Amino acid sequence: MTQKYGLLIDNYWCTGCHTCEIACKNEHDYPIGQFGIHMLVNGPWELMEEGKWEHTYYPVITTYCDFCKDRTEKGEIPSCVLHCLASAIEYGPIEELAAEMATRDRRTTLLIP
Amino acid sequence: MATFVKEDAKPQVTFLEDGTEIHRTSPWSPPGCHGVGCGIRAFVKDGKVVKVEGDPDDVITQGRLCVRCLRVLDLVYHPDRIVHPMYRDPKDRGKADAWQVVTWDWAYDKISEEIAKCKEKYGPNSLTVLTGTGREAGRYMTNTSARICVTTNQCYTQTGFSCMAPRDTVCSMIGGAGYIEYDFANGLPGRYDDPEWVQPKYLLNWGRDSLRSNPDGTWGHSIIELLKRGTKLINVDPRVNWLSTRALYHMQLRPNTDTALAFGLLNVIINEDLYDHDFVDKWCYGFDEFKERVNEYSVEWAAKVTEVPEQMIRDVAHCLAEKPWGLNMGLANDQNPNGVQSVHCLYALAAITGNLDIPGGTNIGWNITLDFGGNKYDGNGEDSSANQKREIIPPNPVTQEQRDSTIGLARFKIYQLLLGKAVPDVFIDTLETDEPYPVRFCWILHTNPVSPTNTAAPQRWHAALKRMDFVVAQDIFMNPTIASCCDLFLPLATWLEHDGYITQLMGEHPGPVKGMIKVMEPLGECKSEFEIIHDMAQRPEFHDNFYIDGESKVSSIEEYITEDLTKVVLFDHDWEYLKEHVQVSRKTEYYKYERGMLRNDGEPGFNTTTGKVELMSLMFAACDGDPLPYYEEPVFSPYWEDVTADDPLHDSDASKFMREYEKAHPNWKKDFPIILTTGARNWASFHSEHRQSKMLREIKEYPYVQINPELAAELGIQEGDWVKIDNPWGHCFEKAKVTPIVKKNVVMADHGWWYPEEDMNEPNIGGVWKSNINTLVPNDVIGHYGFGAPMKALCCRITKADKPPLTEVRPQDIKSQQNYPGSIKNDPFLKDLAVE
Repeated sequence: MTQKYGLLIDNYWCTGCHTCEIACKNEHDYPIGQFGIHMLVNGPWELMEEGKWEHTYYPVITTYCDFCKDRTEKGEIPSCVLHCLASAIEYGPIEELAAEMATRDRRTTLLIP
Repeated sequence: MATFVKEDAKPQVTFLEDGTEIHRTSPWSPPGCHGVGCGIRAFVKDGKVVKVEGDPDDVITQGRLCVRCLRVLDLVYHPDRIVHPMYRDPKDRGKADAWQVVTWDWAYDKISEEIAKCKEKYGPNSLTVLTGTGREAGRYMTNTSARICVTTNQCYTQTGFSCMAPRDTVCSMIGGAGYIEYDFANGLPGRYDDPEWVQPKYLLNWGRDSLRSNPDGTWGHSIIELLKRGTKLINVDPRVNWLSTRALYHMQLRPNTDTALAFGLLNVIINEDLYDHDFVDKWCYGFDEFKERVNEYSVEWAAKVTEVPEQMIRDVAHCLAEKPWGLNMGLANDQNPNGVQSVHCLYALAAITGNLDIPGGTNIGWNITLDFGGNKYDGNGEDSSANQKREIIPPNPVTQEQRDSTIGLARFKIYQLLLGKAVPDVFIDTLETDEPYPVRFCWILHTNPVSPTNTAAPQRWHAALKRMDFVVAQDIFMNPTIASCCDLFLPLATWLEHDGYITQLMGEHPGPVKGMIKVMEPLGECKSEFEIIHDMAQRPEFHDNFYIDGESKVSSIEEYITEDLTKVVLFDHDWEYLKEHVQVSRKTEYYKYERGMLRNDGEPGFNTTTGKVELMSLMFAACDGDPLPYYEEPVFSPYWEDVTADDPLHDSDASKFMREYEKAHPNWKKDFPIILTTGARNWASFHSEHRQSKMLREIKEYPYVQINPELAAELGIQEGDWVKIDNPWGHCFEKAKVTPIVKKNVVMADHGWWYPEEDMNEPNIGGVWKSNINTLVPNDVIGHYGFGAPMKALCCRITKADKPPLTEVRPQDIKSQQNYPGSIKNDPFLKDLAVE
């Protein structure tokens, strides 16, 4: 079986800066209105515990995502991973990312296209 | 000064197999941003830049790069970018089709002729040079003002000079040194793993949205790096912005009550004996008087005034008793007539808790001020021993008579002492009335005062600029200011097209000095800001203003940078060395006050008269002010009372403004019950710039005002509705963003909006009056020293708009109506390069 790869997103620290979207569009020339990775948002709304808020960004990858094949074949990392201002995206073999995810304690997603 | 480079960094230029060149460089402006100089890799094929990426070898950003730089090519190759000098007869101002392409020589002749004519007709100081915020233009502006125009009326147009200067000035007056900034290991070879570095326990983030703004040259996302490593965040902000949701404590204060909150914290720290006695005894002056002042403001009082719970103030004060913590002090302290006092309190907070210049604490900036346009420290023999900064010594042909006649200086001593340039709120009156003398020639350095960040009442600046005999502007795009008020357009080279250098926080702080290394030849006939000055210096009429002992001070950019780096930045290397390495870091030095590194005489201590941090400030006293901080209620607040009418030590133009206003409009509070804050930053733009990029407009297509759901429901406003925001000084239209992150009586409105796709003729000029929130900001609501204006605590009312001010289109359907003869789309050699 071929090795499967994925993206591990640290949603807790994603600051919602849109960099992944634009870095991806630059790499692949996607037009306005289309995305290889698209940032969604949950919140902001106040939790029932006063003073605590839900406000979390969820970049999700689309059917376009090829993990920047042209880059990774040359040993480089995907463009969204390189540019993410919060360093909140990791790329790697899915098993390794899943093991990493198991060590996280809050709002993390593991994505495959 | 100790420096180091990243040994394993790639060479400045490398090549791909297909011949594509990869250039490492660093951005600043244009297009604008603050000078962080986030590392860039620019891919060049056949002379064209085809891609821009982040540079993994950048020691701070390590490859990370925000959307503004990632889409910079949208602007560099935009069909509407102006790439040839253009002239329009002043009688045709406001007409979009009246521009014609001229040569640089013609443009220079014209400028020279108009400068001479203006001086002859109106006197030696009848010229002005206007500058914007954070841009590279600021680095060279003294050359344009003092050596070409030979005027002292250079002006940063923002009311109350409410950006950085108040904070920086207070740091200089109290500590005798540069700006104080949290330590993010920016100047340590091993960064966060360096043995010298200590993890801060807390970051006190006070009125600064660093993530979007990279404020003043500090890389904003360093906050995330600190938090990920375990630093706890204390966030002070009137909004529950995203950062607040990641904070241990979020102090959601009422806008512009910052000084009250700082007093509350100081009160707990002093009275519960949580301060650093050793530091206070050794290095603070006036602690007893300071303590007495603090005791006038109880914690209960602070809680009531700020709307921050008393227990939270107490808890946070206890956190701040634990060393080390970093202070991240933001623009909200400048945009506040009481802001000088909040900065005074915050400086004191860092000092008395022993956090100044310790690893992981709050670093003291070096005594360095670049040639940023002041006329004071120019080697005219005055004493520069205490409370003053070193500055490069250029020839400065302005006369003492001119200095003395600089608009507004007689009224505001701090401007006299530290800035030496026109006071914006007084200057606008002068432009309108010709009192005390006319100013009729204006040179605009890459700023846009009509669709501003940088002016209050842009409608007044618009009218005032029209009174000028001649206005020259330099920029990369036509904008509403140039479209309506200017006669000569000088096209600028972008940061991909010229050489320059960037330092952290105006050169005051450690970390990388970055080389901006020309990647491509400028398109068309564009020139850099330096090149324009260089060309003017060759003309006989300006020649002597630039030459000392037969040697030009602007002979080449290489020499200019080298001289700046060695004499001003106190750097041991020249431009060639910087260019080779792209980034050269200056090492962080801790405990500089113990090591004789702050004073000109090399003795330990601070560079103040007393040699200590002056909690009771001799400099404030010398500037006709209270040497101790004090709280003032925001003037547009329902609780404001006139308490300073007979108190000249504390009275301010802001109080005078409200005293008069309330007399004439006793019911204003009922009519304008909502607190209006402006100026929060967005990812996709630097103030009024970047609106030409459709991809960036996809991120932020239109301006939004954030409204609390309860208020929106009361007003019958729904998400996405166009609303009218108005107050007695102006009105504008923005779209409603209904969100609980603002309190019910507070709204936050986007600034700097105009629509480059719209008709650029007067009166529309890019739709600039549709969404121009600064029309609601009056001038003259400024603090005691002439610093600070309430951009973040105005009053307004909001109603649903009868009809939208424009027809919305999708970003991909935006169609520009611009068609200037000097633009890329009309250049037969360049139009094929254009991308939109």
